[in-house]
Amino acid sequence: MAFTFAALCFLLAMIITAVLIFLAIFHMIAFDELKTDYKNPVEQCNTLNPLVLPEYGLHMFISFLFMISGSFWTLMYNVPLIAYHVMRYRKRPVMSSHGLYDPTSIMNADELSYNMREGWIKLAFYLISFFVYLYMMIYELVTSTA
Amino acid sequence: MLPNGHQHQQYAPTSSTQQSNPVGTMDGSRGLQNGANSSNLNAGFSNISLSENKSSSPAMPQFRPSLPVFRPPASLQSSGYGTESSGSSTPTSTRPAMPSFPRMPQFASPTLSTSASHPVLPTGMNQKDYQTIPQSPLQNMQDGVGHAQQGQMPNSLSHPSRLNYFDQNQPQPQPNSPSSSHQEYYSSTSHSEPQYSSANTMKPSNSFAPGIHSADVENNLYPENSTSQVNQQPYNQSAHGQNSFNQQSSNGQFGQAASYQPSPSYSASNTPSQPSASTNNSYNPFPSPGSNQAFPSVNEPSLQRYPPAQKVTTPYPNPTVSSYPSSQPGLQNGNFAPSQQFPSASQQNFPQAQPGYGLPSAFPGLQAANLGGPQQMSNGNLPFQGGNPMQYPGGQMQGNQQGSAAMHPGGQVVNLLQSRRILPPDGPELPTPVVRQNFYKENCSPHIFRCTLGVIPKTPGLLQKSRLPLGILIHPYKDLSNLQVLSTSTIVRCRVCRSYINPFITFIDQMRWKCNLCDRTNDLPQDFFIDATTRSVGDPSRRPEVQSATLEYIAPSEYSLRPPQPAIYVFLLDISFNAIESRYLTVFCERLSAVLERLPGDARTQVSFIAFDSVVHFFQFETDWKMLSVPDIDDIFIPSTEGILVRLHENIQAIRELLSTIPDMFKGQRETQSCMGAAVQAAYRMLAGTGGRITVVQTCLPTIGPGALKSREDPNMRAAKEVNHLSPATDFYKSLALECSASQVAVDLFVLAGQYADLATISGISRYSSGWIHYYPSFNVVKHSAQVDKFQSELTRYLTRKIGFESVMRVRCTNGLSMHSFHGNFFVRSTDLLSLANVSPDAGFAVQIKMDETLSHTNSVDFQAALLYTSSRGERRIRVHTMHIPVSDSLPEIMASADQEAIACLIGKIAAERAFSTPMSDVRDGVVFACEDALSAYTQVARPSAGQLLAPYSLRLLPLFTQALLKSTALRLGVSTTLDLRTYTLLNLKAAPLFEEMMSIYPHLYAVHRIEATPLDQDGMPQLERLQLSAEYLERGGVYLLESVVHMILYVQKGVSPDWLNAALDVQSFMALQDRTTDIPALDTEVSYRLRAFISHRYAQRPLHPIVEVIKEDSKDRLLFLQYLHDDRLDTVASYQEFLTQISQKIKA
Repeated sequence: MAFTFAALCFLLAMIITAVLIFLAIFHMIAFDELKTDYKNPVEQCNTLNPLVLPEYGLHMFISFLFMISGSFWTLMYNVPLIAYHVMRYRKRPVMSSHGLYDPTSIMNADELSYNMREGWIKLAFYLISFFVYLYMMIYELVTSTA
Repeated sequence: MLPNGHQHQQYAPTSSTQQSNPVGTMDGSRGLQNGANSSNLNAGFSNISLSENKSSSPAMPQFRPSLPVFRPPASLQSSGYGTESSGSSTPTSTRPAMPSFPRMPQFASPTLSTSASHPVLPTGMNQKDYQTIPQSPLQNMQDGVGHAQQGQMPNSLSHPSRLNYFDQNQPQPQPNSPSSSHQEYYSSTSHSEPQYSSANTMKPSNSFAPGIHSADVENNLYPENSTSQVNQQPYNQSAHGQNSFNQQSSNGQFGQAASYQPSPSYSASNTPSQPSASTNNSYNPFPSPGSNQAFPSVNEPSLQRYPPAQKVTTPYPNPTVSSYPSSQPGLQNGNFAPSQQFPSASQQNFPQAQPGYGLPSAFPGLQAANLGGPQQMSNGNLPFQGGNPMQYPGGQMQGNQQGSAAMHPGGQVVNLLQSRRILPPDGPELPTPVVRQNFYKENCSPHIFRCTLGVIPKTPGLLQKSRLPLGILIHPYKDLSNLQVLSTSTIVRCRVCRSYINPFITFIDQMRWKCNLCDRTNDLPQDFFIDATTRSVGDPSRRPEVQSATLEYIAPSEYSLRPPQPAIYVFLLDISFNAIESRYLTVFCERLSAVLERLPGDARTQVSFIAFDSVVHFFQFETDWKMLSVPDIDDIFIPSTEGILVRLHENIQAIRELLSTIPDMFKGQRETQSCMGAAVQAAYRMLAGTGGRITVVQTCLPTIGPGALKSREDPNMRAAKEVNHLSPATDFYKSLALECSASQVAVDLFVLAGQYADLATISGISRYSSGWIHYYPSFNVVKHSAQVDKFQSELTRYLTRKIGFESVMRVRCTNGLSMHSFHGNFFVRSTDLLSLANVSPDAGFAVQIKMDETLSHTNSVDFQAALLYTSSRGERRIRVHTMHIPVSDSLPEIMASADQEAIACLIGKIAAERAFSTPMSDVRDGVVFACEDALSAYTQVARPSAGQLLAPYSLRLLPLFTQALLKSTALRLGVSTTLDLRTYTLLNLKAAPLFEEMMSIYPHLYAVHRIEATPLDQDGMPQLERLQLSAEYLERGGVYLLESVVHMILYVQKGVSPDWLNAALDVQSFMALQDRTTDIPALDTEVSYRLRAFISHRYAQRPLHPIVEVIKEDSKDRLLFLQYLHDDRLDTVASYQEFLTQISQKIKA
């Protein structure tokens, strides 16, 4: 048993995934607030938009870690989400700042429910990822020999 | 030039009496600083509260402080809800009731007791009279009332008819003339109603209540009936008579004081049919034992006490029995014995023989249908053969239907494939709003409020099955001739959902009412029982709030978040090379100068002028004016704190002088750059503290400074199969618009571009700040005189029409439904709240409605739109529209109730919205699918045999409108359309009210060569038939008038009779007729007179005024006309018949 680079990557991935879980929950709370009238959409978008790229970046960073550590199965597991992120960001409305959410269209019921659904799915994905990484880290620690 | 340090300097208006607000601070404390405000505002507005608060809990304000709507103080939250009234109600209700018809002179005296604490301010009434009322609940209203006195009139200066524009010398309406107050823009000339004329014959001396006032809401929209709301007013008779009354009667809209006498002639004249009372029970939504007998005391007084003639003629002959769940014995007046029999109240109310709107006249389509295919009336499986308790749109009282049920349009099926001429000659019929439950109440006018479905499905599954879009179209700030204006001390609202009390609530007992939107029980405030007329403790159901579905409140101070803003107008004028070339400045300045006094507003009205090319020029007014130029456009600042934004009336001479100088000032301009973005930023900074309106006239692409754009249009791609560049190039204008919206600043755009101006991008500034976009392609004073006339008259309309500032509109609906998305120009601030910095009478809105759950708890659905705004006279007002729609679980009934115009408009709006983001072909497919879905869903109801495409009568025009929509300028493909024109028509589709949108979907076509032989209607207008847009209906030698959103074309065919040409156009022959002339001479012939009268009548209906242009059949520009023949095949685009065949095949497949 040895603390390999792969194990370190999984450890980091776990920590980052915890952050991502937090972000997903934050997104959902924000959209729920919009739905229930508590927030002004302009402000809400100003809060959410700066978080979009960091979230994507963190997710790509752990995928990058998996790639250099050679855990290709875990990488494959993350590729669909990366593709989705790229697609989503390419289709964003015309904006001068970073981010995805446009205050003029965000109150559309379709948009709101889409974002809520996206939040739930991402939350589930990150939760599963967390435990997968945990398992993979332990597996890595147990199986690897010095 | 001043240093940059000035740029964030606080902008202070010139007058010390203005409150000075730091630019950009919207922290809510401003509302408390109004001590310096010299105008009489300082009494009522120190307590600031949020009016349109959805939740009554003070802990949940839905607005953030950055938006200028403020958190209500908790102390005010509960003040208006009437919770305290229940305890002390007993003394009031047991007070000895006044006799019903007292002839007491003291009613005419100016002193009134405090019991009359809810003076109703009906239309045109001079509210000055109220200032004499020494009653405590009104005291905090005194300021508002003071404004009201001035505020009523010029605020609502009516739009002069089109003919007035030709006559520049005509005297302008006097600001004090009540004849212009609340005059409806869509005015018709005659309002004669037999009821009023009979009232005139009554002697005024017998009047017991001098203020009885018959304000008929939009009666001219239902020319055959007067729709009357009756208020009895406790105001000073003499003052009333002097100030407004005489002029009202001279206005022709009201009779004399409708002094009520229970005269036998009245009752005889209004009970033409006497069905037995039992027939009225045939439909009872709340079948409680003896419900009909249980409430004589409720309905009977209202019938007898009001001039009931008006009640008799509701425009919707869809009576049902109002069933109050419980009797209200405590509210009885002495002279109505509980045992008194109804003199068949309901049939008295609804004489079915009345030539009402909904009955015989509602069958225009019958002729159309008869022209076409076989009627399916004998189809046994159709459920419309009578026996259905809710025949749409006829009422529920089959006993009174007199056999019309079987003939009703709702039951008809039309075979589209065999109905060639399907458009009714007088246009699509209006929907008949059904009021199932409250028979004596009117639903909201279909001109204001339309729902795509006249009967709402009970379950979401059923809605899915019907495949019809569910949505509402609202025209909330429409000019109305006779709007009820109400000033009460407490505005009664539901304490849970905050909806306003409306005609469709139910009274549970004498102290409580049940909200029709959320089903909660609320207490009635005490003064709600007081009958203003008799000053007795009366029957709450007679209050105007529960009588009128459209009502305007003068809001108490807690509805103001700050002192109501003055009217502030900033004009941004493009003076670049293009602008000078087009010479629009001459026209603009001349028009503005002419209507300067008619700009809506009061003494506080302020104006400012900014010109821009590559530099922003400000105009400073002191004793004279001078120009201050700011070249630093990347970091724009306002060069002076004084004299830039000035009071209009104090500087009117200098302003006039400036306006006369500007056109010549920039002659020889060589600067082609335009820094519109910077100029709008500067104007926004100027207005950020107060709010107001920015009018931008732009003639070219903004090329410099913030918001600079590059041309994106490829002229070779105008007829391409796909449209690119409809989405904005930058979000600069959108973000600026959001800032403007948050500061209550709206930006209106006049784009007079000769070339591409990227309307798709710069329109963002108006779209999200609730402005409006006017577009005049290739505007040039010299070359295109038609455009100039159009610009002139539309500008006049724009400058003088009513305007509401710092407004919000909330749309509420019954639980179980929710708002899905909104269409129009606004910013959506929360799920049901639209933020409108300005609201104009020409703005329409649409809401797609989502059905969340089964409507098991209710058998009707209500929508309520409440528009809170500050009038140009600084009055806070709330206009409330409520629409009531029954619920059904029968699919055929739902299909039969559909409103094809509303559906077509909603589809148009959805398509326009999508067109900005998705490929045009997808959008077009979506439009086709919507039509196919509706018709294929109908196969569940009526199975077509071979060679049939069946549609319910209510949807028979949907395919026609759908395919016309596909060929409209906005959505067409393959026809050369400039990007800007397409954007403009899309925007127009998105934000126009229904009437205007129908015009763009299916333009009007009239054969005017027979105008001499056409019968006249009662207004003396020729009743020309609307033709379908097909060459099939064009005769050789005919002359046709085509009216679309942007064009008004007089199309002259070859072989036209020289006599007609001579009589109408003063031309000897077809050859001599000049192509594209806009000159319709005023000749002294019947043809010419009728033609001009008809055209001006068409203008009077509309906010946009395209100028009549003659196009000859052999003209090179005849495509301008031919492009509107939507039913015909155009190149590769299918004709109407082919379209039907395609749909038919798809449905079968």
